[in-house]
Amino acid sequence: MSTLHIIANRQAFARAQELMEGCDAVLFQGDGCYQALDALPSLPCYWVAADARARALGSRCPEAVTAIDWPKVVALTLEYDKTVTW
Amino acid sequence: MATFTLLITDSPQAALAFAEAALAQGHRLTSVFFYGEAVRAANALIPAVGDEPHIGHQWRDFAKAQGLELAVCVAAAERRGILDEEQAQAHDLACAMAAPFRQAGLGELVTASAQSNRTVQW
Repeated sequence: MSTLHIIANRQAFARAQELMEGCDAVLFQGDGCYQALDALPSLPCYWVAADARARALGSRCPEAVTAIDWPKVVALTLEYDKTVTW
Repeated sequence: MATFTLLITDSPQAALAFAEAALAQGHRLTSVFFYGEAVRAANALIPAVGDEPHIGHQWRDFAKAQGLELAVCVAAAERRGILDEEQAQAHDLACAMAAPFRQAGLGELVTASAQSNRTVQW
């Protein structure tokens, strides 16, 4: 069962990584965007572009991260079997 | 078309952006449930300050425009003094919750979640 892990704060990523599986994906949102600047798992990674811009991170999008808008976030939640917000 | 339950615990602003995008795509919201600290969005006694966004008003206006009710965990709200009219009268305190916000129990969240394609927490 695939999971979309929503990383919504600065502390969550380390805990979430322990439970990520190969079929999962990661969405960085809000202050969680800061975590996308750290080492990333070899999973599809996304961040909410508006949230990253609001934190002056827009121009620092890591190569492994895809910047997306809210309609794409909605689509992602349907693409994966479930979501977990950390 | 999919159905969503939104559980809002930390980020009413993100939840609102998600809700707007979901409805714009033709999806439906089965329930919007405020829990924990997020119930503060239901507090009608917090005025808008200057030109700052007021997330409670934004949710209220969105819900009215979409014909939604906004469920608020009764226990979480009571702990923070956010009482509806009936509770306020019972405790002789100020009423701080008005439509489209309304009290709800966790059972309602469970039911809504079971009836939705996805439950997403914000």
